Amino acid sequence: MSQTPPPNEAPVSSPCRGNILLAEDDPIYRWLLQSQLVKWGCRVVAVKNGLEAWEALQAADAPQMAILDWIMPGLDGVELCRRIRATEQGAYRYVLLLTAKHHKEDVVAGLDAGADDYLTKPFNVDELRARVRAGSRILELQAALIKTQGALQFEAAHDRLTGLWNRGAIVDLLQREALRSMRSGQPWE
Amino acid sequence: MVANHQVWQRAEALERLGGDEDLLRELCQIFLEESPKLLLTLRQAALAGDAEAVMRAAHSFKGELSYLGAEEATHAARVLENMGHEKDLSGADATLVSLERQVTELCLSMKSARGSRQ
Repeated sequence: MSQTPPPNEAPVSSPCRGNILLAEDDPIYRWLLQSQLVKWGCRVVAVKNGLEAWEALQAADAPQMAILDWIMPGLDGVELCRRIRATEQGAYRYVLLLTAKHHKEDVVAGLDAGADDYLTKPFNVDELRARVRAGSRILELQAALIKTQGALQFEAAHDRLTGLWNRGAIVDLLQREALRSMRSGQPWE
Repeated sequence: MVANHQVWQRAEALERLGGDEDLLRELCQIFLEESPKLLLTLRQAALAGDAEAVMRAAHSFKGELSYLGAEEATHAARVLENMGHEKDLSGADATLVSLERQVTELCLSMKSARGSRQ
């Protein structure tokens, strides 16, 4: 059996998990970030401003990790962060904010707006990799947690031997149905 | 200008790139292509008295120049960014001339470094 992973699969050492949204208006930083992430086996959706980033985040399969520059035309990174947190449903999004040196107050404002981590320009590529990896670990833990939660919910409502609804779940369902019937004046279904 | 004046810190930039010479070469190439455009944007914004545009372009420049360890040019870009932020472009011309000179020197230095390594 071959031990080599298929060519389209990320290398084992890849710091990424899923797609990454990259929003950076400066062409040099955008190129640098994108080329490194791609080299590490990440799939990158790169955009040039905050509005394009917001649009990309509305897609059904939008990336769960976002690397956002602080200062961008349209919507800046912090405003984007606020919007992401205000509209978050279901899976968590991990936000890594890019800030400039000498703007330490930005870091506080960024974290307050809901960023998970930050990276100061000019950054070292090894640091970028380490921070992306740290973010991926959080997303992995979260995915595992959601999976466990689903399994526990199933277990709580089903008989372990037969896989059918258990007594608690049936009583619960009947109570909800009775309430619905009383509210609407319609008979039970 | 002092004799050992360094327009940019090549070794420092290389270290930031994890010692990847190819990556540094590509980065320099993009800077050589992009910096004249950015200088033009700055010049036009200053002429039009558009403080917001000066601030944005200077901010971008500052980020790029700091990556290359071009300290004096980074400083000039930062001064311009602050002028844009304060909406006072009265001293922008002189700073812009200084920035243009620094960036020209930087580009020349990059080109000669590229030539000597080929």
